[in-house]
Amino acid sequence: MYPSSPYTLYIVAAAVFTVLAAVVALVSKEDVYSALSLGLVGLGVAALIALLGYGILSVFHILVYVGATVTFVVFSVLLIGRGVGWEKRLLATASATAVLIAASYFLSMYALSSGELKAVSLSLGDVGGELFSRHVLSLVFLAFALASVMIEGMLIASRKGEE
Amino acid sequence: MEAVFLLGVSAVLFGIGALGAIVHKSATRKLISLEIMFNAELLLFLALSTIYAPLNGPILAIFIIALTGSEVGVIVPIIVLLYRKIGTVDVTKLSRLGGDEP
Repeated sequence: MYPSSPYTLYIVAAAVFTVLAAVVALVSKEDVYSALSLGLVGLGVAALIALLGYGILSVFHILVYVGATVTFVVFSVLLIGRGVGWEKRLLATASATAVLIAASYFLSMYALSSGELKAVSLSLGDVGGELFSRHVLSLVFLAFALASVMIEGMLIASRKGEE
Repeated sequence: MEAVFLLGVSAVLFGIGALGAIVHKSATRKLISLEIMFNAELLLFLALSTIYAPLNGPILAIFIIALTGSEVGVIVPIIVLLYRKIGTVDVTKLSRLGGDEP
């Protein structure tokens, strides 16, 4: 339980930062700025994860998601170049749809979220011990998935797929 | 702090991502919007896991984050191939998945 006001202030600040970065990613005219804003969204979410007490996971999110995935997207956008704009005639309908989606998402999860956030303190030993004792097979499958993606990326980069 | 506050933040992020995924014509912008939706889901998942599963939640989240890296690693080369093939990333130009040139 976190009744103290600095904690609440930090969470609100990180949430506002994350939402603003998402808005910038949405309305930015240049794809590069949109991709960079996605990285800021990832950093904001990582800050919120750290404030929830999952410091190790926050570091993992920054390293793997922001450091690798978003960087991959940014460089791909740089290679591809400028985007193709958006459908102006769909804006009203899409806005209404997005509001409905967000409202239904909120209402469907509201019953689960009725509790108060609890203080969690997990050490690297806790997470590592759990991961390597009970989830070894999952780690092996994850390694295969990442290896297959790497092979796929190398094949596409070498243009073998077009022959 | 109530968990419902983070649920609200997550819902707003999810709505922003959904709006971007609908209105943008570029495949890369759609991918970015879908990634915003993923971040919203991850945030809510971890907020709820502090209540229901403090240890198993982050373990699953580690796999989710790593698999998202794999997913982007698949989608981005597909977008690059699309750009090589038709010279644009406009998804409205895609009328067929195979066969004749669009």
